[in-house]
Amino acid sequence: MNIILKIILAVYNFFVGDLVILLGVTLLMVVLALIHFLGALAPLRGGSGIILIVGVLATLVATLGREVMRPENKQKV
Amino acid sequence: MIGFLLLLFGLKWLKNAIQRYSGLKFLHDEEAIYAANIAQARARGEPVKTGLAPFGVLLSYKSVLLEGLEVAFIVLSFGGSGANGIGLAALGAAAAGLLVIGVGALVQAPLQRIPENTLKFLVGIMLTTFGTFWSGESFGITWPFSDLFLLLLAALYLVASALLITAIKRRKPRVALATTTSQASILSQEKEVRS
Repeated sequence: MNIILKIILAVYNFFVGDLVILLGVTLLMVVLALIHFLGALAPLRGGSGIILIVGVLATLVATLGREVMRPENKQKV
Repeated sequence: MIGFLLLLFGLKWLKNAIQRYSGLKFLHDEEAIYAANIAQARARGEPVKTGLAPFGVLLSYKSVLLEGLEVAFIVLSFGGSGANGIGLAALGAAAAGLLVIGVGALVQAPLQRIPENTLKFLVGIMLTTFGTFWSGESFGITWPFSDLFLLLLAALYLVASALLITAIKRRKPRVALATTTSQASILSQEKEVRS
């Protein structure tokens, strides 16, 4: 494997190691940034806290859901 | 950025702890793993050496280094959240390091009985709580009850995690059973080899 790819993979594994968590949290930050900076989305600013908390919980549920659905875990049932 | 990093670390720790509690992953039992490895080596007729193995030392060092780096990033994240934060966080981390080494040396036996997964679970809850709180503040969210909201957030994540553990256990009851059975088989394998 290319050395640069190895480095990127090592950094990714060190910080997260889980694509669902990385995508979920990144998406959440993008949505919150849009709500914060775009005037058109200003009416949503009051609910930013709830969006953040629900987003974090949804990310946790999604990543655990993926683990439950993995074939090796399905075989155990 | 600080809240983002803490959320990444926190969710990772929380996910692993929930997986272990619900039986999707093995609970870490170092003694059982060591006993199983020794039993396997004896079963293969390999001599079991008791001295230091250079490869083992290197492997352990790598693991400790990676975990230590993660802790360093968490300290930096906390430190970056206020004025003089890095200095105070570094001081706090150094004091905590000395305290942990000191207490570890003095009360080694009782400390070994503290469940590893419970510690990781609580760290995951704390990191996710602080990550959510500071991420929100960076986007101009004013939390109700100010800093006291941290306690409410922690309680919310604790309840949500407990519900998730229960839900996974109910959905996959035999997964937990399989985990326990595998651990039991490791121990029975060791007994068979000894007898």
